[in-house]
Formats: sequence, structure tokens, C-alpha cells
Amino acid sequence: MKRVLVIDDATTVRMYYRQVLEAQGFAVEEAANGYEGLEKALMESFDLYIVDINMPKMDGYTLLRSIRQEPAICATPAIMISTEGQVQDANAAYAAGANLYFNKPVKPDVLALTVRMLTGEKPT
Amino acid sequence: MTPLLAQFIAESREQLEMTSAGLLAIESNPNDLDKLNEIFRAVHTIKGSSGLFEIRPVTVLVHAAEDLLDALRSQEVEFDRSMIDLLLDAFDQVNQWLEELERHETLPEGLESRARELGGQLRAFLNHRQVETVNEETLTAPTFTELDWLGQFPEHERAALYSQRVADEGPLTVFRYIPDAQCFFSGEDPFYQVRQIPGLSLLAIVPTEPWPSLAEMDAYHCILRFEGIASAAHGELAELFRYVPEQTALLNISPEALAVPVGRPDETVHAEFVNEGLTLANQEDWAGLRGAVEGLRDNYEPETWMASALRWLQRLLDSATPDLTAVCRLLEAMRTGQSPDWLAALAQPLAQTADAAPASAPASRALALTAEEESAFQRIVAEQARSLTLPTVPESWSGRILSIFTCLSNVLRYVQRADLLEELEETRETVLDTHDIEPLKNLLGHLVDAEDAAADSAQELSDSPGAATEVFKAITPTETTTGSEKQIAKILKIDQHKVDRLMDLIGELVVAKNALPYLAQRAEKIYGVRDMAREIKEQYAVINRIAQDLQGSIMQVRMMPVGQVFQRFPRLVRDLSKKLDKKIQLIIKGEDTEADKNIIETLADPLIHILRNSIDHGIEPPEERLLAGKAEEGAIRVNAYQDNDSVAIEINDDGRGVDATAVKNKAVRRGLLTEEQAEAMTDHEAVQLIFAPGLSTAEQVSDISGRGVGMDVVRNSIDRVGGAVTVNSRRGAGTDIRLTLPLSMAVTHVMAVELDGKLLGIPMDLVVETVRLPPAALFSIKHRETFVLRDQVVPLARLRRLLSMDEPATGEAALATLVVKVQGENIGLVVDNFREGMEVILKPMEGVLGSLRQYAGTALLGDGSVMLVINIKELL
Repeated sequence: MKRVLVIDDATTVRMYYRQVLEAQGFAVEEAANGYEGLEKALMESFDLYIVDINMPKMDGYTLLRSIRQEPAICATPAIMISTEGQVQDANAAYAAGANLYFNKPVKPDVLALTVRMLTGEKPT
Repeated sequence: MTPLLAQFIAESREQLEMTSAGLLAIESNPNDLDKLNEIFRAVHTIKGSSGLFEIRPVTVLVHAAEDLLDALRSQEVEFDRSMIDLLLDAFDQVNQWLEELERHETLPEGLESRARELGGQLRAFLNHRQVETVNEETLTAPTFTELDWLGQFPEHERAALYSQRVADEGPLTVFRYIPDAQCFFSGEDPFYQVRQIPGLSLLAIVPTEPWPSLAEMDAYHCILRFEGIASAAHGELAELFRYVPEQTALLNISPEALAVPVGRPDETVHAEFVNEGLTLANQEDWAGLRGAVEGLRDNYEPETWMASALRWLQRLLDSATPDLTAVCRLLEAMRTGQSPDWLAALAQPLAQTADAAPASAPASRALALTAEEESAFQRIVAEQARSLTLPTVPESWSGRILSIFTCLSNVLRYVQRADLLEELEETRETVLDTHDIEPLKNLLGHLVDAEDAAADSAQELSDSPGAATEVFKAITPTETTTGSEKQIAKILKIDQHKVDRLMDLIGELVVAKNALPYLAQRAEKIYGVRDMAREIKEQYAVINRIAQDLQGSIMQVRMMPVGQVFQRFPRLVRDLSKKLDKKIQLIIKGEDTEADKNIIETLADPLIHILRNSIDHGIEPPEERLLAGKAEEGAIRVNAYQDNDSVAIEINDDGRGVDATAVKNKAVRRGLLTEEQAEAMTDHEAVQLIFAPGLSTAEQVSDISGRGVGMDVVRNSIDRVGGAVTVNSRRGAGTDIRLTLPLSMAVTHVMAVELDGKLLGIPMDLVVETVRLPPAALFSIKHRETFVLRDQVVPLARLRRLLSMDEPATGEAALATLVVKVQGENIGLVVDNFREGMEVILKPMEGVLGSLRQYAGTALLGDGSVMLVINIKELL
């Protein structure tokens, strides 16, 4: 079972990702901020990270930069999803190490499909 | 309601509460940046989550609030007290909508105008330059990916512009300006802005999304895009658009870029002409080429693409010194029938060689992709290419490259192109070894092309209409897997109903458990099996212990800090004191003290009432305080602490105190007291009269604390949960009100007594002791039966009489007397007989029985019978 780590400070948003992804047969772990996310990422192995930008303690950019610098986990794909919706956010996301950027809210079918593709999970 | 919506409502409420508290803190200390960030994040969270649901008004309003907060925290706008008022209003409104949402699961129509109105007020604080906060670090303007869109302008207009610019060699700049959808709320006028463009030559206004029907159209939502050409330098336009760089793309072009042929495509192969043309051009034989063009032109209908291309070629050749690269490009374009890539021409001059490598044919593919899959694939590959163009720190370079390869290999697996994996792997090695990303770029380009071509066929196969599914309807509710619970760290949020249900079940368990002793009794007395009875009793002891532990644990779960209720106070004090022109400082202590959730909930209204009384009647206006030699600013202290098995909350103000004489006079006027009684009353006793129903000392009825009917209501609700309220007042110096409440009202210890063959419960905490009195020990004082207990005279009351039951003559039998303490005084209560003490779950009287104040509630006993529990205070 492919494992996805969801890092977002909004419980509702985490719950939403969990619902969508669990329905697709993914195992979902949650972290409420970048710091917690980095801890989890370092301790367990995941196939994909879904990262919010604006979070307490450690923001998404910092988290992604840290992930990309950790040899053990740097190759794991990451999606960044945020509310900002401005060009500079997308570019900043890519500069920090995201592989794909979305604006909130991501529709369930788009999210499911993208996560499947980025984790190499075959179509149902 | 879907769990997701329920979660959203709960989370947003929490965030809003935090926000309101934070705003008040900001008001007193506008420089608290941490607080401001905290508030911003809370609001940001609500906005982000609200997008998951169809609740535009909430999103719109919260968005406006977020923008203002963002400007505040980046210190782009000056702090202003009226902002706080407006923000609080906005959040109150959101709260109200959340309630609506909770009741009906949707919001009624037509709220959006209200949201926009409030949002507009909030945004009024921002002047237009601060609307979009720009992060310098990451600022990059959108860029053009192609210039084919220039073809939308009529050819003759472009031709005129072309010849003019070629003649005077003036600058040409193409622009695309996509105003923010919300730009009207930030004081921008895109149309005006565009009209200011210097040397505006060609302009197109294009909707960025399909026009909604007239009924649904939102006139305040900008969905326009402005694009065109200006005969001015890049710098001049950049100056004009300097406030919205992230919404504008600007590009300096050479006049040749205007040569975008348009028209009906035709099937003819032009390879021969192109080859001949390229040869002539490379020999700079312009006359020859011009002749060739003229010879060919009449073969095409004027409205065809080819005719248009030839006309442009002619224009290029008409110049004194034709631009060789431009001519070659246009000729190349004729080979494919596609517009020339002028953008690439601007970036790098075309290599003079004629033959471009034909795009590699798509490799065969096992899987036909749906349109959605196709576009997701394209996007993923394109974004990897995009990320390669962005700078990164050296430490993350290999991480980025590796992650890109992981993505690509996963995506290829998904689209079942395992045949490409080997190539991918080779490229990966090369890139990592050489630190040169060129091979990766090529590979990405190759992937897009291959899929592009394959897409056309796939498109025909899948006829799915790119369904824009409504977000939250589409979520399939999933069974929560057992694994997911343990993943939630430290804090588990549980719906209160679930805990209540658990509580009820435990109540039933306790009752069921209590049946065991009865069973043991029956086993012994009726069936005569003593051993069995003993075993049942042993088992009972075990179950009893477990049940008690269970009860204890669930009570722990229900414990909440009293601070929950206090949260509303700062706002209340602020609003009221403002309204009354009083200066009041609120000091709260002991918010962490815990008590049962139900208790805390009963506490909320009484506390607010007491607080209102203190603000309205207690604290004097500043002038009066100064005259009385007090500090101008009054103080209200709220202090909570745990006192043995109960929680105590003290509300203390340094106001004028209760005027005992005024209270007495009013009580006499209202007929609550005779003159003599009033005369005999101490001040302390008189002050207690404020708890009497229908007594108000305020001369004027105010809309703040009303008619003072509140204090009796306060006492009633505190009584109902088994608490007590006392008041102490010093004239001119202030009032202390003290509430004591049980920690939990889940389980009540009662002493059972017998009366007329039935069991009645009396709360154990009131019981002092039990005595059996010989009738001779009774004597009367002032027509009242009394007895002496350890040198103290104790009044006696007969429970049968209090409950209007017949009193059979008892003769000389000793009277079973329960000594109870009521309001600090011992009273003897005569009952028929004592029974055991027991733990019961007390259910309050409901419905019509709720008005029977003599009873505190009912409890179910182990044998299935119901016992009434007496409210002694009321009875006496």
C-alpha cells in the first residue's frame, strides 16, 4: 500500500485529503505543521508528500527545502497545495523543491489522479 | 451532515474564537506581531478550508479579512482601532453563517452581497497598492509562451503597424494584463489602467472564462484579460503596471513578430517552394525570392493561411534590408502550416540550416489515456521542466533532480510506458555524474511531444466531458480504517454526543451492576444457596471496581478548563464598558481549572449575568470613582480554583457595592419583607435579598443587565447542578460573588431514606449525621419543634409533613432523624427509616415535572425501581 504524508495545519483539509486518498487505497499519515511533518518524514518512509505553504512552526517552503537536502528522503515526490494562487507561489514552490503545485481546493478526482500518477499507482 | 462539513464547522469555530481573543490582545498591544501572525494563520486556515464547500459568502468575507490582516502584519497599513471593530463584526457574521450551516447544511441565497459589503469595508483600509502583497524573493512576472495570439488582430492593422515601426524603428511591446478577479475591491480600474498605456496600438479584451448567464453574473468579479501591442518601450509599460507586476506580462518584440499568418488551412504541400525560398534567401537573392512569391500567390484564395503567409513574406521582403532569420522562419512555418515561433526567434536567432529534425513519432503505447489523464501527464512533465529553470541552493540540487526522476518514473509506470524507463535511468546516471541537466531537459521535451501526438488519438477514444465535479459531493464517504486512529497524535477530538452516549451507557452499566446485590439477596433468601450468593457478591465487587474506574476515566474525558467560558469575557467587558463609558480592567485567573463539561456549560450564562451586573451596576463611571478617591479604572477579577471536590469561581469588583438599605426598602415596597423583618436584618442578610425573585435595585432599567431579575435565575441554575452561590458586599468598596460547583455531576452520592414504604434520596453531601431521638428529647421554641444535639439547638422538620403526607402516630418509638446542613445551618429531618448510602446517576426532572422544584431529580435503582431525590433547600 502506497503511503502519503499530508502536512497541513487545517484539520478539515487533512481530513479531506484522507477521505479522498483512502478511498483510492492509499495509507494516509498526517502532520499539522512543517516541523511535525519533517519529523514524520524522517522516521517513516512515504511515497509522496502533500504540503501546505502557510503553517505554524515551520512553513511549507522550509519543509520542502529540508526534505530535498536529506539524502534518505530527498527523492520522494512532493505536491504543494496552497490558497495563495499567485504565480510567484508556484515558482517559489518549485524553487523549494515541489514537483507539482496546486491551488486550494483541489477537486477530488484531480487529486486522486495526480497522486496515483506521482506514486506510480496503476489506474483502477 | 458530512463529517467533513462538521469538522470544518468545529475547526472554524475554534479558529474564530482564537481570532477574537487575539484581536482584543492586539487592540491593547498593536505591536504584538506574534499575535497578529497567529490571527492571520487562523483566518487563513478558515479561508483555505472553506474552499472545499459551496459557501462563497464565507470565503469572500474571510478572504477580505485575511488581506487586511496580511497588510497589518507586513505593516503596510497603519493600525487603527476601527479595524478591530470591523474585523470583529466580520467574524461575528462568519460565526452566524456557521450556525446557519450547522442547521441547514447550506447557506441561503443572497448572502454574498452582505459578504461583499463587509469585505468592501475591510478592504477600504487597504489602498490599492497594498492589495497584493508581493514576496520579492519569488517575484516573477508571467511570461508569454507563444505569440500566436497576435493573430487575433486583423492582418491589415498589424501590417500597418509593421510598416510604421519598420520605417521609424520605434519600439513595440506586447502586453497581457490579467487583473485580479477581486480587483474592484482594491480600488483598481483595469479598463482605465489599460487606456493609460502609452502608444496603445492594438487591444483585445478577452474573457478568461466563459461568460456566466446574466442572472448569475457577478459584476464585481473581473474575468477579463487585456492583451495587445503598444508602440512604446518596455520600460514605459512596466512603469504603468508597476503595482501589479504579477498580473502583467510584457515583452519587447521586433516588428517581424507581427507576422502571424491567419486563415483557412489548405492541404497543399509547399515543400518545394520552401526549399527553393530558403536557397534564394540564403543567397540573399531578394529579388528572386520576391518573384517566386508573386508567382505563387495567385494560386491561393486570399482567405487561406498560405495566402496570408505569403503576404507577410512579401512585407518582410519589401523592407530595404530584409531580415534573413525572419524570412527563414516564415518559410519554415509554411512547411508545417503552423505560425512561426517568433518568441523563440526573439530569444535565440534561428540557425541557418534549413532542415529541422522532425518530431519523433510517438512510441506505441499500451494504454489509451483519458483526457484527464492526458492533461495531468502533460502538466506533470511540463512542471518538472519549469522547476528546472528555477534557481536552487546547491545542497538541494541533487534532491530536486532525484525527485524529478522519481516522479517521471512513477508517471511512466502509470501510463504503462515501461519501455522508456531504461532511457530514464540512463539519463539519471548521466545527469548525476555530469551535473548537466541538458539531457534531462531533452528527455522532458521528448516526453511531451510523444504524448502530445498520442493525445490526439486518445482524445477521440475518451469522450468524457471533463466533468467539473462539485467538490464535496464527489467525496465518497469512507470507512475509517482502524489504522487511522492510532495515527492521530496526542489530541483526539471527539464529538460531544459520542462522549455523552458513552456517559449514558456507563450510567446504565452502573444501574445494571447495582442489580447484582439484589440478585445475591434473592439467591440466598428465596433459593437458599448461600455459596452462590457469596460468589455473586464477590463478582459484584469486581464489576463495581471496573465500573468505578470506567466512570472516573470518562469523567476525565469530560473535564474541560473553565477558561472556555471565560473566553467570552474580554469581549463582553470591552463592548459594555465602551457603551457605558466606563473604564474597566478585567483580570482573569485560574482559567486552567477543570470541571465537567456540563457544569461548565451551566456556568456560562450565570457568569455572564454576574459580570454584566458588575459592569452595569457595580463599577461606577470614572468621574464618580475619582470623587470617591478610587482609581479611574475599575477592576473586575474573575478567579477560578479547585476547592476539594468542587470548583470555586469568584467574581469580585471594586465598584460601589450593594446598598443594603436600598435593597431592604425595595424588598419592603415589593412586599417581600415586613418593616419589622427589615428592621431586624443585618446588612449581610439584606444583601442576600438580591437573590430573591423580582428585585432590582437599579433605579433605571438598562438594556445591559435588564431589570435585575437575573440574580434569582443565577441562583436557580447554580442550584440545579448542585452548586451554591454566596454574595458579600462592602458598601462603596465592591462586591464579591462566589460560586461553588461540584466537579462533576455525573454521579451523585445519595443517602436513601424510607418514607411510607418508598425510598427517597437525599444528597449525601448535605447529610451531617443520623440520630434516633426519643420523643421526650423534643421541645418547642416559638411553635417550632427543636432538639438539642451536643449542646446545640437544632430545629426539627418532619419530611412527611413537608411532603404533605399523613403522619401516623408514632407513639414512644424513637424518631429516625437525619441531621442535614442547609445554607450553613443544621436541621433535623425526621424520616421513617434510614437506608444505605448509594451512588446514582441523577437525571433532572424533565418536562412538566421540571417545575417540581422540591425534587432534584430521579435515579434508577438496581432492582429497576425509580427513586426520587429530594431538593432539601427548596423543601424547607
